[in-house]
Amino acid sequence: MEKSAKNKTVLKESVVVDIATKIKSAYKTYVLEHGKQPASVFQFSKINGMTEDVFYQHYNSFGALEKVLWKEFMDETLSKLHGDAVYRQYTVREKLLSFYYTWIEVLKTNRSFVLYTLNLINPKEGSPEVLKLFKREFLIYVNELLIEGKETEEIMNRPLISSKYDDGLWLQLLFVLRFWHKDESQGFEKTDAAIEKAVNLSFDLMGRSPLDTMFDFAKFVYQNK
Amino acid sequence: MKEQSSIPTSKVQRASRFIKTGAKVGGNYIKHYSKKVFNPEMGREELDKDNAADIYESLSELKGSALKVAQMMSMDKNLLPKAYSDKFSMAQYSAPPLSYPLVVKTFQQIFGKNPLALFDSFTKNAVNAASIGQVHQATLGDKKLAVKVQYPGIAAAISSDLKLVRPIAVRILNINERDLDLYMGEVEVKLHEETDYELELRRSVEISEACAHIDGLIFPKYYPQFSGNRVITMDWLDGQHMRDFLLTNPSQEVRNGIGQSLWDFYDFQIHTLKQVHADPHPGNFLFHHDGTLGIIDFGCVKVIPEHFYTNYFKLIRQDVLGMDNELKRIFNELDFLTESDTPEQRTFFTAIFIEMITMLGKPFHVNEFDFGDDTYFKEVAELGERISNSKEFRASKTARGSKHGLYINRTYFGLYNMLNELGAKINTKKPEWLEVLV
Repeated sequence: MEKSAKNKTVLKESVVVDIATKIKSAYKTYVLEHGKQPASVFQFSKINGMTEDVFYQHYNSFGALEKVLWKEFMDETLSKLHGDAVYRQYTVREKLLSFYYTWIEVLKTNRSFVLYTLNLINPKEGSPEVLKLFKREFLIYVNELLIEGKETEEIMNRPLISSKYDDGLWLQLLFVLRFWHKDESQGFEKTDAAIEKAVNLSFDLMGRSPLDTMFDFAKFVYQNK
Repeated sequence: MKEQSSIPTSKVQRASRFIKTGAKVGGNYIKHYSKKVFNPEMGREELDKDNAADIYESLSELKGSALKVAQMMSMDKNLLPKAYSDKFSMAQYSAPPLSYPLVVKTFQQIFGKNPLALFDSFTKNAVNAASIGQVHQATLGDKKLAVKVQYPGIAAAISSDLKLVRPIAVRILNINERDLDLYMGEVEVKLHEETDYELELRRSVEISEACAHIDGLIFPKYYPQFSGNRVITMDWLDGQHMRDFLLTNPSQEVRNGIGQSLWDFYDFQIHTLKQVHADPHPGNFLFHHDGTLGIIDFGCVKVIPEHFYTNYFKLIRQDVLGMDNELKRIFNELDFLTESDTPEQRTFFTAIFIEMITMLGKPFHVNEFDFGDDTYFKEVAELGERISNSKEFRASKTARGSKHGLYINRTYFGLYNMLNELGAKINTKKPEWLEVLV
């Protein structure tokens, strides 16, 4: 907060950015303190000493704001990953593992807020509204990984199925998220184990397996009978 | 080393892994007996080999505490047929590793830095597997380091793992379940201690400093600044595992020297420190051709209670074997005999224990003992076999022997076996109060 107050005097452009940041952190604080959304944008703006239209310049609604907050978890994760020199040398499997570990770390610093939004989501829902922007970013990221994985042959190209890999990985992400949500082990150690196992499983399923050999064999026999 | 492709997760999966083993072992018996119909010559050894392979396979996929039990079983060679112990001793060298990003994460958690920010180099893949973690090699300046990283969630898995191992242990060890329960508690406590790397670091430093004066021993230096609750950093020790070392045909003199260092190491820990490195499996010792011995891994340390110490080691004194009342007292103190024993049982077990003690105490009753003498080990094995096959022994449902004896016996078993494999002739030093009447 202090920092943003100081920066305000610098440049016009950064002032705009700072107001958005300020709204976001004020919103998070409000939600954490009250356990629910503010009654109205008007009330929220008033508490924070600004007019309603300043809020609307940046966000259409509280829901839209929450979506952006989630998307930023993704941005932060990716920028951390790309800032790590070792990341580029990883295999695709390791990249995804590394993504999860970094992402959970990011979520951890925002755990209360994350739990607040997760508690509002129906656990059966495959694509919760609040995760919409986040999901879009995740799918872009994961599809890059999939392409790379197919190049390195860590991932098999299979007719019909391989176009669904990204959906599968999204479900896996939801699994990890829910596991972490419920995890009570010290330092979330069990989540670490869950990530390790889930990613290994998905890559074993996507990688070359006896089924591919079997399919290949069956095709050969069929074509040559 | 190939990374493990999948690890059974939930208890259900772990359980199904064991059921699979059970089914396979059952199948091996069927195979054995159907083959035997046609070929009566076929020995049990082949059957044991099949079983051992299947059990090992499933234990090593489970890792952690189950692997630990596999290791313990492989120590007690006399309890296990040879094929089991051969296969299980593989468990002491390798288990599939976990991913590098998780290692990085663990470092981030403990040090707030990546491995490469702490060290000049750090191997991406594990170079070695410890039973509940894996070892990476690192360098810092001109120093070569070994960095042990623990798997996440191990501590939580121990208790449920032990419950799963139990039925299999009953089966292959041929111990009744009540006997087993008495000791399972002790094993559980020890396994939990092993997951506490901070404790291990303290003990490693303490014991290796206390034993530094013993000739021929090399201990790594430990680095508390690069260690935490799931990471331990120490100097990298070169050297060969015993089996590889023996293949190079070291001279008798070198064997004796190393054997003597080993003996002195245990003698000092047991009688002076009263706490002992209770994990004497070959993976923890690194052999060198100049006759020195590197010792690592103080994860499993047994602190010996005074009451147990006095009674247990008194049995080694030859003169005590002649004193009926004193013997009776000690047997009661150490829970060898219990209140509920019938007079016949008392006589039977007293005789057995005297025979066992005489046999196992033999190296202590002379000043120099040749552990290379296979006839001695054969006698021990035969005695073990005879006892476990005897009607009275099998009929008795009572657990015998103090639980403290579990790790002490294991330590001596391990020590004797290593000395035997080394074929070393040892000056069996002991404290003065045990020298009586030698």
